[in-house]
Amino acid sequence: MSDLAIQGLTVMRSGRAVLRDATAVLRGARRTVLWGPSGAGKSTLLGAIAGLVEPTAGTIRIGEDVLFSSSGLVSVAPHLRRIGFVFQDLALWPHLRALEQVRLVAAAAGENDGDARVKAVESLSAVGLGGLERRRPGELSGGEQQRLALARALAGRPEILLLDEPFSSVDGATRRTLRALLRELSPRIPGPTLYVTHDPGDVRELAEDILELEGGLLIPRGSPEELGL
Amino acid sequence: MRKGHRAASLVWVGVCLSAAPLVAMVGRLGSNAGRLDMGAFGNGLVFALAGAGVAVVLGSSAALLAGTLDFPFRRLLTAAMALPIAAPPAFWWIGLSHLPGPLRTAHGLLPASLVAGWSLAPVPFLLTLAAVREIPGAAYDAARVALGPGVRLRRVLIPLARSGTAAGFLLAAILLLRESEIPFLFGFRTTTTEIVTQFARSFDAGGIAPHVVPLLLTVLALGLAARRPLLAALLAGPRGKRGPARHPAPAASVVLLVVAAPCLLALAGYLAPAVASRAGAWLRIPADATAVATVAEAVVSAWLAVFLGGAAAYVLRSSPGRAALLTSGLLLFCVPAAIWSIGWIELGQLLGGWTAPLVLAHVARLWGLAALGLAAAHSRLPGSLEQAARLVPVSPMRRALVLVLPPLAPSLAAVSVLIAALIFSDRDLASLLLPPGAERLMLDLYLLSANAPAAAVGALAAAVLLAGLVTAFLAVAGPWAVLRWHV
Repeated sequence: MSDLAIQGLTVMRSGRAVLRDATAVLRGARRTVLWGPSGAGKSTLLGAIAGLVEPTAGTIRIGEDVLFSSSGLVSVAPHLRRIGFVFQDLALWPHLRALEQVRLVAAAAGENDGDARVKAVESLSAVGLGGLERRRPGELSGGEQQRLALARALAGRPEILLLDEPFSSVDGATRRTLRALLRELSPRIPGPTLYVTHDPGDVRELAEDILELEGGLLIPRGSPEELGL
Repeated sequence: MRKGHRAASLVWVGVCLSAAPLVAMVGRLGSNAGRLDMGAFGNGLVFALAGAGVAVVLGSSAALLAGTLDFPFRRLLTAAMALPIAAPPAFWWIGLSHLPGPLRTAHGLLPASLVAGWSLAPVPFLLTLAAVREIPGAAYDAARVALGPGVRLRRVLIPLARSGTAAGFLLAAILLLRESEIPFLFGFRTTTTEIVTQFARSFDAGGIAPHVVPLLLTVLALGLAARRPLLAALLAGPRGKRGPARHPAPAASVVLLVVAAPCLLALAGYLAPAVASRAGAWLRIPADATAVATVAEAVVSAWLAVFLGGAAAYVLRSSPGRAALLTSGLLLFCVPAAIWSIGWIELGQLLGGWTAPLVLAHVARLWGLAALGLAAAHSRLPGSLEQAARLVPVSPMRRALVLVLPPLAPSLAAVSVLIAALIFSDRDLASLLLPPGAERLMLDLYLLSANAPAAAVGALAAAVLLAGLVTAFLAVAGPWAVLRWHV
C-alpha cells in the first residue's frame, strides 16, 4: 500500500493561485472524496497529480517515488506515473472499440499482446460490459460509457486512481450501480482513490476520507456532517 | 414564395451561372478528338501524388507538433509554416534557384515533387492543425496519462487527426495536378502543360479534349474524395475548450524552423543579387498601372468572392442544401485554372466574341472557398448565439451584420486573404484571358526569370512582395471593416 503525499503544492493560472500551498496525505487503498465549490481547483489538483498541469511549487510523492518536485526539478511524464484517470467527460477515444481502448492501456502498462487482450476482456466483463467489446463509445449508453472509462482507467494496473466527477451525467439508478462498482473495484488499487464530486450522495456512499478544497488550501474533514451535508 | 426560399433559389441560380464556362467547355469537347498522351498523364499523376506525399509528411508532422506542444515562438513559427501558401510553388523555386549551389541544376520529377510538396505543405499543415485542435482535450489527456509517446501518436493522435491529413493530401494532389509552371521549370510534361501549350498554339478547345477529360475527371474524383474529410476537419461542433492542452517541448521549434526555412532562403535568393546591384536593378521596379491593376484585381475579386460565397453559405447555413453548396464550391475550385480559362473563352465565343472580365472569372472559381470559410467559422459558434439573435426584432440583414456575422470576421478576413493570394499569384487565367499587352506582376516575374539578370528578377520580386503585402492588407480590411463597423 502506498500513500500519496502532497506538500506545499501551488498552481498559478493567469497570475492567480488556484492551489496555494496545498498539503495532504492520501492513504493507500482508501477512497478519499475531494469536495469543494465550482472553480475551487479540484480538477487542477487532479491534473497536477497526473502530470497534466505543471505546478509552480511543491512536491508530489507516491510511497518513496517522487512524481513532482519543484526544488529537485523532477517532473515525471504523465504516462510514467501509473495513474488511472476517469475524466469528467470520460475522454473515451471515439475511433476505438471498447476492447481496443482497454487493451491499448493494458499493453502500454507492460502486458504482452495476448495477455493484454485477455486482461481487457476480463476488465470489461468485470465492469459489466461483457459482450460489448466491439462497440465504439458512440454505440454505448451513458452508463456503459462510464463503465468503459472505469475499465480503461484500471487496465494499466494504476497505483493511483483519480476520478473527476465521473458519474455527474447519469441518472440516479445508474449512479448507485456505478458507486457499488467503484466500491468493489477500488480496493484493488494499492495507492489512494481520489474522487472529486459535488454530489452529497457520493460523499456518503463512497468516502472513507474527506478533503475539502477551499481558497486553494486542502482541509481534511472527518465526516460528511463537517461539510454540512 | 417565402423570402428564405427566394434567397435559396437565387443562390442555386448563382451556382449554376458560375459553372457556365465549364458547360461551354464540355460542349466543345467532342468536336475534334485527338489522343491522350499517356506519358504526360502519368507524369502528372506521379508528380501530384509524390508532391502531396511530401506535403503531408512535412505539413502534418509540423501540425501534430504545433497542435500538441508548446515551444518558443510557436505562433510566429506557425505563421511561418503557413507562409509558402501565399505564393505559388514556382515563385519559391525561382528564388531558391538563384542561390549558389547545386539547386540551379535540379531537373526532373523527383526534385519537382520535393519543391512543390514543400511549398504546398501549408495545406495539410493548416487542415491537420484544425483537426488536432478539434480533438477533445480530455481525450488527449487520457492518452498522455495512459500511453507512451509512440502508441499515443500512432493510435490516438494520428487517427483522430486523419480527416485533416487525408483532406490535406487530396487537396495538395489536386493543386499539383493543375500546376503547370513547376513542370515547365523542371523540364517534364504533364497533362496540364499539354493543355496550356496546345491551346496557346491552336486556340482549339476540341483539339485538347483528350487531355481535358481525364484531368477533369481525376480532379473531380479527388475533390469528391476530399469532400468528406475536409468537411469533417472544418465543420466542427461548437465547444468551450479548444483542443489538447499543449505541454512544453522547446526542441519542437527547431523542427518547424527547418521546415519553414526554405521561405527565407528563397527570399534571400531573390533579394541578395538585387541588393548587391545597388541602384541599377531597383530603378526598373514597376510602380505603375501593372502593380495597381494586379493589387486591385486581387482585392476586388477576393471581396466579391467573400461577399457572394459568404452570403450563399449564410443563406443555406441551417438547411440541407448547405452540404450540396459546399460540395459544389469545392468541386468548382478543384477544376484547373487552365481549363476554366478555356471555358471562359469558349463561353465568350458562344456569346458572340465577348471577353470575360478577369474579376468575374476569379470570383466564379473561388467563391466556394469563401462559402467553406463561413461554414467552418459558423459551425464553431454556439447554437444558442444564433437562437438569441433570432429573438431580437431586427431585419434579417441587420441581424446577420450586427449579431451573427461579426464573431466570424477573423475567419472571413482570413479566407479573403487566401483568395486574394491565389488570385495574386495566378498565371493561367491571366495569361489566357488578358488582352494582348496587358501585364500582371506575377506574369512579369515568370517572364523576367527566364532570361533577365538575377538582380532584375530580385528587384521585381521585391515589388511583388510589397504588392502582395498591400493586397493582403486590403483583402483583410474589407470584410473586417464591413462586419466590425456595425458593432
